[in-house]
Amino acid sequence: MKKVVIILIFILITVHVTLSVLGSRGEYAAEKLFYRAMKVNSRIVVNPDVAPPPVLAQVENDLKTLITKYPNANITRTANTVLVEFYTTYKQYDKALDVVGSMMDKYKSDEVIMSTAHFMKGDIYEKQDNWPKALAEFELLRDKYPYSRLGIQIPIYIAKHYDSKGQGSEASSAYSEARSFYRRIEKEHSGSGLGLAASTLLFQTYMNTRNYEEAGKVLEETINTYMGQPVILQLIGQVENVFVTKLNEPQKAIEIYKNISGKIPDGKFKKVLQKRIDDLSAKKPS
Amino acid sequence: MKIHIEKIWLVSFNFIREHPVVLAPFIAIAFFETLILEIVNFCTRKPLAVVFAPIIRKFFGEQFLHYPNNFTLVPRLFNLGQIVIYILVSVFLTAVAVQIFFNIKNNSPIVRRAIVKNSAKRYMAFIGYGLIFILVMIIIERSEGFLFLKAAKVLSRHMFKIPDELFRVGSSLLIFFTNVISQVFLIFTIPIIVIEKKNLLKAILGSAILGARNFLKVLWLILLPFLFYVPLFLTKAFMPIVMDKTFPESSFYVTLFGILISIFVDCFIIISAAQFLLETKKAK
Repeated sequence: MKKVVIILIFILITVHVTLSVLGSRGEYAAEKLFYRAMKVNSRIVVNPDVAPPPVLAQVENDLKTLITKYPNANITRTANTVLVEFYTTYKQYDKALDVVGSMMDKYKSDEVIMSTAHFMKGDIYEKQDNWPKALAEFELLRDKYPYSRLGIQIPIYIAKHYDSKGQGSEASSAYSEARSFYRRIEKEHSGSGLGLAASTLLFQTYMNTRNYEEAGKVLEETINTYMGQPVILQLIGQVENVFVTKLNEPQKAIEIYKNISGKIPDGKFKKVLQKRIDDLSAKKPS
Repeated sequence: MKIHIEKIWLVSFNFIREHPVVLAPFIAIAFFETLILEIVNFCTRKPLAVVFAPIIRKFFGEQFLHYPNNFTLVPRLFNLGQIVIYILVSVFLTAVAVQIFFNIKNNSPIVRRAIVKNSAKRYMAFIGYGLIFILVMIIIERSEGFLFLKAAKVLSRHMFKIPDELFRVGSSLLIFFTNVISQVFLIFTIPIIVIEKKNLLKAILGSAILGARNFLKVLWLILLPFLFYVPLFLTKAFMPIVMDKTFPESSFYVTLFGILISIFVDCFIIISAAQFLLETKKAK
């Protein structure tokens, strides 16, 4: 029996070793290395100022090794982004810009990576207090990749920057530009996910400039155009905020709730809406 | 004649020590299960991913094809493979072990081919038993999980919120003990088929009657060896935390450890059950 047991163990070890060797290269090894770096990184991001240098060096080396050793792995794209964020956190802006540069060279045809790289570059310049260079980068991102997740947000991002710095006239002009930008995209892509994103950002520009009348109109239009439970769940809080709190028009909110209730099939959701309609109806206008 | 459980354990333990050949079928089961575990462990990597990746993507999602999430799937996929192995191989090999035990007890020769051939004659009965056993376990597990969840919700609503960890420990232990209790009524099925040469339905009925008549004794007989599985059960209940605190591959090693200890525990339980059956017959 001993002989048989030894043979069986030998078979299992052979299978294990063979499959380990065959499966330990390429994407899998890259993912494993990335996981290791992220595991250590998750411990140091809690308090980056007191992270011991050897631990920082380990994260940096793992990410650099991954990028060099597995240039074609899918995870390498994310590793590049993480390495830039890592350098940015520790204010090593030159190193961060180098990585962004190599990302831009390598992934020229990848819209997601390119838009991320432009944004990170702008963000680094902004952190270095070089707003003109940052703005140039953000404008490049907006013009080249207007339909990307980051590109579409740039107009409002620029306006918010001026707003936060107390540059009123620049902010006003940037918000005006942003509104035109979002109206154009909404018109061109009405009914699609991109149209919804543009519409929501247009609403946000009016909210940021405290133009609640216009914000309310955009909100109502958005709800009517993109009627569907996920969208409604995302926007319903704003109906309450704009029409009840800001504009003191509970009747308008009731009208919108009734409209939604007639078009959404979910019984539980209808009950919640009806409860809110009843509460608002019972409330005396102030 | 009174049956002493401690004596049965001692006899069974000495039997395995003196006749390790009875472990052979359980080693074979462990071999097949480890092979399945190896396939499950490597199925998200090349070259096995060519076959398995589309299936995993469809039924579980893309994220389980990537490190470290692939290791959260290892115990689940292994359980599925283990069910197939249990129905097709494990029950049959357990019957072979009981046959070896019976032959040694009767001073009959151990002719490997003859024993396997003899057990193979009732292969369909063993498959039938495997199917029934798995079905019973699935029903118990599902209904118990459902009831435990409902009870926890009621308790949380009216008394206090049950912490997630306590819920996991509670549900795992509940499933474990119900499995043991249901085994009290099913454990003698294979020994009855092999030793008393009864058909499947009569064997299940005989096992249920024997378990019911000697409920506490049989429960004690199998509970103690089954307790070896408790740490494993609890580790599996907290597998995502264990993986996070140690390394993702730990799910593979924990499952492998379970296979290894089952060689001895399962063998000890079935030999104890067969010994109990013989002593009950003698007492009559």
